[in-house]
Amino acid sequence: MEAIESVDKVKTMFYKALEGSKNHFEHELIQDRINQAAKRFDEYEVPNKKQEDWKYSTIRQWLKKEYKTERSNNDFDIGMYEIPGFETNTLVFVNGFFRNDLSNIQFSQKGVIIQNLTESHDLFEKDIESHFDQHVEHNYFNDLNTLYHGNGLFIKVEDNTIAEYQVHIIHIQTGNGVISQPRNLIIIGKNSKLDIIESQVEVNAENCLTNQVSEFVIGENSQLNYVLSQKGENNGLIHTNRFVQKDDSRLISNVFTLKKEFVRNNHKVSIVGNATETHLNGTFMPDSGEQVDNHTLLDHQNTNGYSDEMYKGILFKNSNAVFNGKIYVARKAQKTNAFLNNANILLDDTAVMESKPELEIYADDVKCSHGSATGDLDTEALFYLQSRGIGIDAARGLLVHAFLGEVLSRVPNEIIRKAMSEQIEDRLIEMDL
Amino acid sequence: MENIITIKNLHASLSDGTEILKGVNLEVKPGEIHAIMGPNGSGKSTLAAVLAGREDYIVTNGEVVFNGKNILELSPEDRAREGLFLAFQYPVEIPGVSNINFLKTAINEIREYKGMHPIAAKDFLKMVKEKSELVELSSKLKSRSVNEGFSGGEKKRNEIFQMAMLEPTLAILDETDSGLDIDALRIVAHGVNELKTAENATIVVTHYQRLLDYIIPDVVHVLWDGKIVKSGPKELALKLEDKGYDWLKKEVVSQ
Repeated sequence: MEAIESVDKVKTMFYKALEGSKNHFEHELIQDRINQAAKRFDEYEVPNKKQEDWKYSTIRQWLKKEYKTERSNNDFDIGMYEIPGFETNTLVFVNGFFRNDLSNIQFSQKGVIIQNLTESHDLFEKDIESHFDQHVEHNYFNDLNTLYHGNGLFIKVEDNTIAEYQVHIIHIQTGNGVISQPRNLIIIGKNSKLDIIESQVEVNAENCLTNQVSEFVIGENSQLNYVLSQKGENNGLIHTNRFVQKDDSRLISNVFTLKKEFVRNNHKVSIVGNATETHLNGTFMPDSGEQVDNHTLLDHQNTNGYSDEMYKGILFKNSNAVFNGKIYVARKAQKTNAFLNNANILLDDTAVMESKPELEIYADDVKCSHGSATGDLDTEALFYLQSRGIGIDAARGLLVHAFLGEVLSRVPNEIIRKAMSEQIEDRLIEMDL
Repeated sequence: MENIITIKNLHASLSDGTEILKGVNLEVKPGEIHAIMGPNGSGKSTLAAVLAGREDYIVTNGEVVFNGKNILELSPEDRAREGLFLAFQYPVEIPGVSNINFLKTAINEIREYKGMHPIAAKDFLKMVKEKSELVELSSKLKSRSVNEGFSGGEKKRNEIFQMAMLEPTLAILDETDSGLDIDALRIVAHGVNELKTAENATIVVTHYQRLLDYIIPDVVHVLWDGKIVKSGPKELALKLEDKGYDWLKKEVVSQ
């Protein structure tokens, strides 16, 4: 049992760090929403193991640390994070602050607006009013972000616009005990398309925690291709994406959690439109002492939706992962086709996987399935490979690559697929596979 | 002439202690085809599995000399690298590993073991083309994941294709005829016959005589309750087909 006293202490310590960076905006509507968040925030319990949502999480140790917000003017070699053979508009944030000097917005296109979220308050008032903090759940970390968020991106793709250049958002954590809270709003109009790659990395960082919140609105007959790569050592990420899909829209999200001490992804999709298509894919490979915790939701609120979700994990010695994926089908959402699959390979007896796929269905004319399988590498397959002269290590490597290949093949862009494949390759080599 | 393989007094048990092989003796010389027949549960597949190095069985006694080495001390991969090949009764599906990539890895691991350079891409592709024609394996199947979605016949042909690619000195075909229609059976047998040389040898493990109409054995052995109880020329297989195993039972009991 956790004493109430210590929970309060955690709460105090945690946001003491942020007091100085409390947001105050000139814009009345924004300020009003922040005030509402402040009211809600006071009522929240600090996330703890007694809450279903945080049951298996190691978040507590991250809430006990002391944090500060910190700008860094250090130089970073951005080239090493770029996708080889790919020209992008690259936007770099360090500890949650936008760094113009490191960014490279080399391509401009009519109908594609990329700017700081704060700038958009006046310029895109209507969009802000309709969407800012209107889609994410109101909970401890999201409201914490609303209250204290630093820089963030506002991206808007106007109607009938295919964004020709990929947007690459790079977040760098650096320093000791730094908390970052980026906040993004991405709006795609009708009949439009956008590609976003997001890389979360770290350089000389320790005990840093990022609590990022992004809202994505995908307009009628539009498409968003989204790729996220998370990489690092001794730091934590809480990463919240809320996608909203309107009629006939398509979303393809591919998340690669390669290495990080603590990752909590909340990737949720509100399917409000008719005849949408959604693909959520994820790969995670936690190492010793690390935890990767994926919470996903496919919230089918409308008819004829198709969703396909696949998350695959490779768990190394002494690692821990959580997968909690839910498909919700509202009474109205007839003719929904929703599929969810989570498969995990434990490479060592000390690895722990908590997998919890969930279906909650209120419509009667739907096709839904969910599956979860966790186990060792297939010993029959290993023997088969060995019996052909392939050594046990190479055989294990082949099977792990094959297992992950299925998720990789779901990245639509060939160049990004190759880049992600190389990142996975590097990780497996590090792990002697 | 040196034996390709010499099996002496081989005993093997399951991990729970149940003895399956109770003293198998067998010698195979280069250029020979041996058939091992016997009723269900006699230990035929166990013998094949023990030779290939499957860990489910514990060898409690005896020795197996292959290529001058006691292979019971070798890992499954080293046995394969020494030139032993097992065609599986139930080939394993491996999603995500392409047939071609798998074979290339296997060939190069075997070559590395022998101190040879990796095979040149051109030579490899040429070999793939030739050998796949031998078992009429379509190019579609070559690039697909190993055995995934293959029909029963395609899986068995893929086994013989792999055998052709790896060029073993001893191939053990474990119930390769099971689940095959007559056309597939002919193709598989044709492949095996084409691969036969004066230097290599084949052990055909089978339940039925049917396959032996196409792959003519030099010697037929009957495995019974974990032991080879009778060996004879190919006509022995016909007799077994004709009379079943019961006559043999009497003979064995009366011995």
